[in-house]
Parts: sequence; structure tokens; C-alpha cells
Amino acid sequence: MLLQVKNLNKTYHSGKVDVKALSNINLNLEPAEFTAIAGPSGSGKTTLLNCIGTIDRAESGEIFLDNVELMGKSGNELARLRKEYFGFIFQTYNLIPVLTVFENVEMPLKLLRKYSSSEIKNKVLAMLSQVGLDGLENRRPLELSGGQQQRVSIARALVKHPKMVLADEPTANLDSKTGEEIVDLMKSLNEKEGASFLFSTHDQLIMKHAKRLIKIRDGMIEQ
Amino acid sequence: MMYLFKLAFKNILRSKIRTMLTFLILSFGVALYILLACLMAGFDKVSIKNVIDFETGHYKLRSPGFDEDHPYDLKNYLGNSQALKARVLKLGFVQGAAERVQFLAELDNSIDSAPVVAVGIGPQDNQVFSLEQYIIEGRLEPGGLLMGKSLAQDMGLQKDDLVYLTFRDQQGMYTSTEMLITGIVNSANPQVNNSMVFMNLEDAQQQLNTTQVTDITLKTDAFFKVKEYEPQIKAAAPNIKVYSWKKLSEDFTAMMTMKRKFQGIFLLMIMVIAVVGIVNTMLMSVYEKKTEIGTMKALGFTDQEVSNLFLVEGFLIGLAGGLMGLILGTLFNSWFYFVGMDITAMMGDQDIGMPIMGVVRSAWIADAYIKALLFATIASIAASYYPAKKVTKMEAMECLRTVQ
Repeated sequence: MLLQVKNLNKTYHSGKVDVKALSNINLNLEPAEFTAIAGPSGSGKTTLLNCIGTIDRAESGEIFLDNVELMGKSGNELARLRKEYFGFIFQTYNLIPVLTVFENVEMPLKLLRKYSSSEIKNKVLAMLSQVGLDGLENRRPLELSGGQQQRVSIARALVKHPKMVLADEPTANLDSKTGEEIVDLMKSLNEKEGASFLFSTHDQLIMKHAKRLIKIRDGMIEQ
Repeated sequence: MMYLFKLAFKNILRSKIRTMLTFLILSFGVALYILLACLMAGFDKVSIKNVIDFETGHYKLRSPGFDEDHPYDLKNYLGNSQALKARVLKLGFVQGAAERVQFLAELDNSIDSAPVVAVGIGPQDNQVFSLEQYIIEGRLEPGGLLMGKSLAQDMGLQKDDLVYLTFRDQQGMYTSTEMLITGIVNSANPQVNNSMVFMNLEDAQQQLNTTQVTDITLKTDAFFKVKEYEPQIKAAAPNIKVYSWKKLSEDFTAMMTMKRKFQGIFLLMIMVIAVVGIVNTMLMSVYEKKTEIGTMKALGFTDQEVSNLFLVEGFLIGLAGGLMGLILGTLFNSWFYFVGMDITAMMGDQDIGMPIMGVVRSAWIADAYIKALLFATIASIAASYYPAKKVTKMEAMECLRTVQ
């Protein structure tokens, strides 16, 4: 078992109003899965991904990654876990605009501090080649199309070979054709790299590419 | 760490205009400080030289009963000056000794009168003082009077005019004597120009009805060796009051200390302005990069690493601004070092509280460069501390939710 989520709860407090974002979520994920979390806007997809990815904290429940409990960890320990185990793909790509494509993709490897410059270069170029961005390594993000930027984001998430890739609506800002290309790419990388993918979407076309579909509504998983 | 520097460097180049403005504020402040410090050092250097060359020499020997509160008192005369002079000249480091007699007098041109310090100068005066080099018209002749240019202009006098000098002789009797102006002096010391007249020592002694002098001024081979030479001079001149140039120019050196304090306040003010600019730049930067901060935290940067990024940005802004300031400061100071500043053209003959006149040049002060660069860099890092601290408190999620 790669990931185990047990009785996860999360409430957002906005002034006097409390919004229950996640309610008793239970979820198991095996290695190399390609799973979509589907649901309408505001259903809790992003919150669930963020809690699993440790960039948001749940109020109660347990999350185990590789049998390591994540909930009680300190900020620095969680940062280390994110650095080593998770790859993130964002809806708005979230590339660093002052860095080139190459520099954006090399960032997670630099952060790991375990590869030499030449190793990093080889890994980055190989990953860029896998996502179809050969020859674009010196471009800045703003010089690329949305689809290309998302490919850079995918390359950045996968370059360190994480155990798990969390993608929050990775196709929401793309047209249908590009969106399908991106999901196809993620799927092929899932098969090649063996990383488990968990992505959120509300797009029916994208959902059909998932090997497993988890539906969520009002913060609860629909069985 | 190198990666953080690379990232920080790229970040500060992101908003070129804003970064440039911050650089300019900082570098202009640093340049102004350097200019001020170098100018003041130049002024101090010239002032010390002028005080020594025209007023104090390196040491003054005065009578045991010399009254510092009444320096022109008739009781201040020094007896047996020739023997004393011979004794101190035997000291290897003493290069010259000049006897002078100084007294208060009233200078009268039949229309106006002005109080002056009259000075009788001996033939060896030029071994110690530089007065002779600054005579611009005529010379000091027996029976004649040499007077400062400004004083002569104020009283409408010129060479070959006759004036009356009224004073008390050593016995306290009032004496008035007519004297011919045989020379005009335009020295670099405003006191000499504005309020002094010079005559031959013998003439002065004759007028004062004395054979004594008021002081013997010494010149040594190194003016700064006060601690080393003073005891030796005192030993050679027992029971005689020995004053070093430092002691004689205490008022002036106190002013130098004040100036240095003022410089410190000025540096502080400049840096406060620069720090406010940097804090503003960094806070704007934090706000603009909220999503990036969230992304970096999601990728595995610790709070401290993201915070360090902003501190490094502050360091780079401080270092670059400081270095640019050093270059600007050098350019500004070069003008004042090579061309100088004409104090007389700016201020006329007014006493500006420093013994300087004419063109004054600045100096090069390495200390000011080091201080300015260090201060700019440290202040810049300190200014980045608050924005950096703010970053550590920001949750990744909160940053990622920001719409920009």
C-alpha cells in the first residue's frame, strides 16, 4: 500500500461560517495507480489533494505514505517528505517565470542535493525529451503555450522520480485536445516511471482516461 | 547555497525599474557618505596643516606662569629665551625653533580702528612657520608691518600706507606708534588674514620695551609623535610650559570629533531612507511572489530556505547598491580631490569655524569605503529580515490560493 487515508476531516473557517471541506475521507492507493478524483467545483477535490500532499493540514484523521504517518510531522519534516516523495502538477502550472524551462525542471533535483551537475543535466534533458519539449530548454515559461507549460510542470513533477504525483485539475486551463494530450502524457509516464498519479478533474473527457475513478461530493467520497 | 544565490539574482532582476530605484537610493546614500567623509577628512588635513603652519607649530614653549585664560597678559613673557632655545635645539628631532612675541593692539587708519594680534617674528620664523610663503605683496622690512589681506581690505589699506598701532608695553604703559605697511599676506589661515599683523621681533621688543618673547615654537621631524617627543622636550625645558599642537588646537579637534559624530548621524539617516526603500521593495516582492513561494514550499523548500532566499536578495541588493555607491562616491570625490572646492569663493573671508581658506581638496579615506559598504550590506540584510520572516509564517496553501 502506497497511501492510506483514514477518517480525514477538514473544515474551513471563514469568519463565523464553518465550511466542511472533507468529511470522514477513507482512501487507499497502490503504487503506480492512475486515479482520478472527480467531482463538481467545491466538492473538496483540491482540499483532499492538498491534505495528502501535506501542503494543507487536516483537522483529524490519519494519512500514511509508505506506512509513514504524515499528520503529526513538523513543517520541516513535511517539507523533506514533499521533496522526496511527492511531485505536484498545478492547474495554473506555477512555473517560476524568471527561470528557463531547464532551470524550472532542475529545481527539485537541486533541492535534493544528491546529484552532480552533469547528472542533473542528463536527467532534466531526458525528462524534457519524454514530455516532448526537446530544444525548448532555454525558453522562459511565458514564451510557451499553456500545453507546453503544463508539460514543463509535469517534467518538474516527475524528474526526481517521486512515489506519488498529485495533479490538481491539470487540464482545466487547456483546450480539450491539449487536455487529452496532457492526460495521455501523464498516463504514459505513469506506465514508464511507475509513479502513482492522483489527479482531480471535473471534465468527463479526462475522467475516462483514469484507471480508477473516485467520486467526491460535498467533501465525502461517493461509493 | 549557490542555487539560492542564482535564484535570488534572477529575482532581483525581475522588476528592473524597482530594483534600479532601490539600488539608486542605496548607492546615492553610500556615495554621499563617502563624499562627506572624504571631504571632511580633506578639510581636517588642511586645517591641521594650517593650524601648525600658522599658529601652533608642533610645540610651543611658554613661561611657567603663562595664563591660558589670558594668553596676551603682560605677565606671560618668557625670560632667557636664547638659552632655552639652544637647549631644545640640541634634541635630535627638533628641526627648528622660532621666537615670537605676541600682544594685543589696536590698529588705526585714522578713520577706523580694529583690534588685532600683533606678532613680532624672528629671523628663524620660516624654520617653523609658513608665513613668508604667503606674502603676496612687498615683504617684511625693518620698521615695517606685514598685514593680512582681508584686514587690509576691510580697513581700506594697502602697501605703503601708514597706520597707527596702539598697545601696552611690558610695563603696562600705553604706546602708540606709526608704522608703514611694507607687505600684504594672504595665507590659508583666516585668522592670519583677518586679525593679525606682523613685524620684526626686534622692532616688537623695542616697542614693548622688553628683551623677552612670549613663546618659542618648535618644529619636529614628525608632528604626530606627540607622546614620544613631549616628555623629552619637557625634560630639556624644565619649569617651562610645553604645549603640543594637539593641546593648542583642542577646540578645533573637539570640532573634528563633532563632525565625525555628525557624519555618523548622516550615515544613519541615509541608511534609514535606504532601509525603508528596501523593506518596501522586499515586501512588494513577497506579495508578488506569493504563488511562487507556495510552489517552492510544495516542491520541498523549507520555510527557512524560502526565507533565506529573501535574505540573499537583500544581501545582493545591499552589496550591489553599496558597490555602485562606492563607484559613484569615487567619481564625486575625484572632482573634489583633483579640482577641489574654493571655500573663499563660496564663503568669502568669513570664519567658518575651521582654519581653512582658498581651494580645499578632499582626501581618500579607505575606512569610509569599508564602513559604507559594510553598513549598506548589513542594513540591506536587516531590511529584508521582516519580509523574510513574513514568508516563513505563510502557509503553502494560503500562498497557492492567491490569485495573481
